[in-house]
Amino acid sequence: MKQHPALLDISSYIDKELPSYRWREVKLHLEVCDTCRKEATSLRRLGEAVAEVPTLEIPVDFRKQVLRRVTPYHSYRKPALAASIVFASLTLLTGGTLVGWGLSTERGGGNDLGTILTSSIETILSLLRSTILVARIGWSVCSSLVESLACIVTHQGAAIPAVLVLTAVVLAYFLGRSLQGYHRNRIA
Amino acid sequence: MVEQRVAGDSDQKLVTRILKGEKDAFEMIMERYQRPIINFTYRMTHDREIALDLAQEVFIKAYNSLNSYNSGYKLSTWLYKIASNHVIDYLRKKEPRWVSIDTSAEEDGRPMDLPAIQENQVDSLVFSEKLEKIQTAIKRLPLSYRRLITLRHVNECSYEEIAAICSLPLGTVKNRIFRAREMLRAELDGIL
Repeated sequence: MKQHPALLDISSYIDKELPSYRWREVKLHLEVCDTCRKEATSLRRLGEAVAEVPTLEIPVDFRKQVLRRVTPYHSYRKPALAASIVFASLTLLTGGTLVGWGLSTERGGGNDLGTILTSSIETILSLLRSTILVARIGWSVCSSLVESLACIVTHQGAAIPAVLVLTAVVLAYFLGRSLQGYHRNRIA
Repeated sequence: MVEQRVAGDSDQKLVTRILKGEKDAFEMIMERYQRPIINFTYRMTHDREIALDLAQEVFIKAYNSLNSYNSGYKLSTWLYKIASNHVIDYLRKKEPRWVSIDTSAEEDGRPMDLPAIQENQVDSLVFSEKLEKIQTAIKRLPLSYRRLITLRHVNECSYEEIAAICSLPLGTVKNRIFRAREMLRAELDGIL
């Protein structure tokens, strides 16, 4: 190699970041060229000087301090899952009662307690049956969704339960509407 | 026995255990990487307290994002990426406003009111004159260059790792490291 290698290549050479054939070329050149060898030595010294600046002493309790500020992954996932189930169940029950009340009125049963209760129980049972069916089919999808939501809970606080409630209400509404249609057809 | 098992676990195994709820496994990850991360934050900020605070925040950020960690990357690269972004964000926010010394001194005839050096900024470590000059020269580098030169020489990262950490093309890393060295050499002329 008669030509001087580019300074950029000498810089990469001392970092051993050149392709092997090029690295050998530069190495052979440095053996015979004083100017480039000085350049390489100067860059190497610079690297050593940058690296030798004293490092910081790490406080003994550094790791403990970090660990105190983080929560185990499980500890927030389980309550989040439990909270989601409780929210969903409560919403379904409320939705079921409301739809049941609506049905009892449509059947002309007035607002007497017996009719409301019968309709409510019928509706709740239908809702639960539908829910179990849907849950079985979509279990794999739902479980991964809940996992993801549970992770966000730590960062988003109360926002996620609110979203869960909203979702459950919407689901309950649509289930209720379809059941209402079904009952109406049966009565007709 | 448990300690031995933890010490022998690979980074990936430790990550899996943390995600299963074993918070303490994270201590082993910190033990492995606290020194390079703290060295990095310290070299970037040149302030002991700030460097330690930033390093803590880096580990907390890393812990909270572990479920998004892609095992296709080395954990060290991923941690450096978090550290690098965090420190750069901090330094950009803290960038001092430039004040002309001449204007200030001439306007009211009084010496410029420079902020006093706080006690925590005075490190207990005593630097030799040479080391001080090197440190000052590194500090004067533009942030993007300082980050690369620190990762290369302090953390001994390869160009490829630096490219992954800083989300830069390999050629840019190579060029910037070269330019940073040229700047440092110009600053440290006659010292090395």
